[in-house]
Amino acid sequence: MLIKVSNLIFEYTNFRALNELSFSIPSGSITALVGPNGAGKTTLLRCLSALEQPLTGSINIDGIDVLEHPRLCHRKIGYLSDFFGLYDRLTIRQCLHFVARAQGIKTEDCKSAILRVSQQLNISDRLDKTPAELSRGLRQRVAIAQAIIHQPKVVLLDEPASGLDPEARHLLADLFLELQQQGMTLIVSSHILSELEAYSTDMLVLREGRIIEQVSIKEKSQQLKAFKLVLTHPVSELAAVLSTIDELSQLEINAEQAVFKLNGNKDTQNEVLKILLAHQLPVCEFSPIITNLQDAYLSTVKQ
Amino acid sequence: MNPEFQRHLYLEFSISRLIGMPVFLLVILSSSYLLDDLRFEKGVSYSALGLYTLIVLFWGAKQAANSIFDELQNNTWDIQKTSAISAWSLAWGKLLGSTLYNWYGGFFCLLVYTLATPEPEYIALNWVYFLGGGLLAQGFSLLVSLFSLRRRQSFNTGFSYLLVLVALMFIVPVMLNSHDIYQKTLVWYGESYNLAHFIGFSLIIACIWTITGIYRLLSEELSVRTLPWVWLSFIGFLIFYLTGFFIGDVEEPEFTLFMTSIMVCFGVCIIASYLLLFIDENNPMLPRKLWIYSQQAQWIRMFQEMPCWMVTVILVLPSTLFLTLTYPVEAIEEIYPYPLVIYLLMLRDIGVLLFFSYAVNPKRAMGLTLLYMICLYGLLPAIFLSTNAEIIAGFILPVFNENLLLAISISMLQTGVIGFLLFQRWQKRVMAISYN
Repeated sequence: MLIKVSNLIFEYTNFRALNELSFSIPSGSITALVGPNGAGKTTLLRCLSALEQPLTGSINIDGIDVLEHPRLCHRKIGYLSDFFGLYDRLTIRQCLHFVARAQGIKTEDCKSAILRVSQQLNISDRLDKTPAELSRGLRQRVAIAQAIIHQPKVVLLDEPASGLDPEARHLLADLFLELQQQGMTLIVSSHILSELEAYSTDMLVLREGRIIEQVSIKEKSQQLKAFKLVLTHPVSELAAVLSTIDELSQLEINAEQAVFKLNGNKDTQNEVLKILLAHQLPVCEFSPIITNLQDAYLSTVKQ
Repeated sequence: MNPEFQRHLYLEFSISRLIGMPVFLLVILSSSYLLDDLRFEKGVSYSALGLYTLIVLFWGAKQAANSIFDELQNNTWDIQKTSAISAWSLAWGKLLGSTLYNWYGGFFCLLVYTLATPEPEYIALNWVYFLGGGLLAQGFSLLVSLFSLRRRQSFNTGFSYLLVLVALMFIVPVMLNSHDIYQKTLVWYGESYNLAHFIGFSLIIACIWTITGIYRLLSEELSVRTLPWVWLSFIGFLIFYLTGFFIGDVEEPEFTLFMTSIMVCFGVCIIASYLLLFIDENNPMLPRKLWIYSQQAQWIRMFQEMPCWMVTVILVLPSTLFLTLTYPVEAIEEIYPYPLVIYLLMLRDIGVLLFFSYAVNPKRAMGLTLLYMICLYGLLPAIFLSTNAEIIAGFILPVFNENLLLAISISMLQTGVIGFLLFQRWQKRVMAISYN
């Protein structure tokens, strides 16, 4: 595990923002950090990046105790704040050069690092402009370039897509996947669940400072592999027929319609359909119910 | 090159600014030359020093403070906090980088001063004064802005100008009359020293401590856990430095040195506690953290989190008890400055400030505390004394009581009441944390 958090407690004057959080995040994953407003997402990211000191608990990133050695850890972390700022009086090149040097990149290597990261974020043609001259989307890209210029192992992004148009969000999703392919581990906090779905491998759901679920999104979608059966008209023996099929579970029958979980592959689906037709049920629809991250999140939060 | 220093180079230096500064100085100093009947001496040298004061001390102090507040205003402070740059690099990068343009202008001023001064024999040490004075003014300003940052309060740049006055105390005597300063002597630990050399040496030491203070505050800001060794060393140095002024020709030098050191320690720690308490952050979460760490026997962690004023309050206790038991207090116009009473009154004042600081809206805590102190230390005793109600005055300000036990009892009562109220408020604010 690349990131290990144990018994993390963070308190503000009137409330406990993080309540004994413990979790691990594997290397090379993209974890969606989701939860309602005030759940503690930003506080958690700030603790992970050693910007805030928790009351108790420990954070270990790639073998480094973050709370004991924050500056060492910063060489391995890239952090993008929700309300990020840029040095508006410097050119983008100067901004990137400053951050590269501040992250310990040698002067002679800065040029290549700036070139690499600017190409990666499609800002090569704007290096001699100042951030003040750029649109919100481009400023966001510059901020991300600053966060990853030192090729950190872990990238923490707090609401990176807020304020971006759909096209910019799509580009951002591609970028995150690219960073993942390069071996980086990302934790992305966002409210836009549809966007997170495009690139996240894991989901960490926070609510009122506690983890209410941590799950691999693939697993989650497999767990929720629900099917819908619709008949042309109600059949009284529908429940009896469905109850005889072993592969089905969690049956919900409503007149001419049934929803159930089906464990198995396409062949099993085919077998089940054959059985339904063999019982001469007037099937007009038999299809998987497509669940997305939002459904999964909402069902988790409701639980 | 230090990245923070280089960033300021990008910001501060452009061709137009590089040309602009010498041209501006040339115009002003030429005017001074013309007004001084075309004499290139005292008038011009004073003008150059005046310009130096404005550019390096006043403007420089503002620039140093802004090197922190611009980061906050532009939301770029997190970039620096999550970088790998060390606190030391950041400290000198900010201090020298943000003021580099001022030093550029200051250099021209000092050059003209060197050429025009009527006292060229003192020029080398005078340069130490002026450079040290500039660095001290800017360093103070940066230091106080870092304290404001801890309190998450905006920094009044006008205040940085006030800090410049401290640095000016060192250099104004030299500016006005170098000759006199160089002829005078000063007694320190019974030895005679040249006043000018002593002030120059003290200035350099002050600069070193200021920069060390900046480094430590930046370390804390960058989440680097530190024990209060530097603060304790600074207090130790202050005691050593100030004791030297009170040691003269005495019959029992060893006893006097020890006793004087204890008395200076008492005075320094009391003043330092008040000063730090007023400028440092007073978050109600802090006692809770200390309490939890002590419960978990995490003593190092507890001392890492302990604010320096609290360390000083603990430090002053042995000297307070020692002086109370050994030092015969002499009345100063009906006032009996018993050390233990002063200590208890300090605890009471700390309690009052914390009581206001732990309120839901603590913005006016400092103002309210100062108001209360003016009333309890000045207005109310003065009113009762003027109406010959000395007993009531003695209850308000216990140092008016000749009886030590009575004075201690009243102080303890006042401290106890404030302590109780403070505890109630703290419990209400912090112990009622919602655990979801």
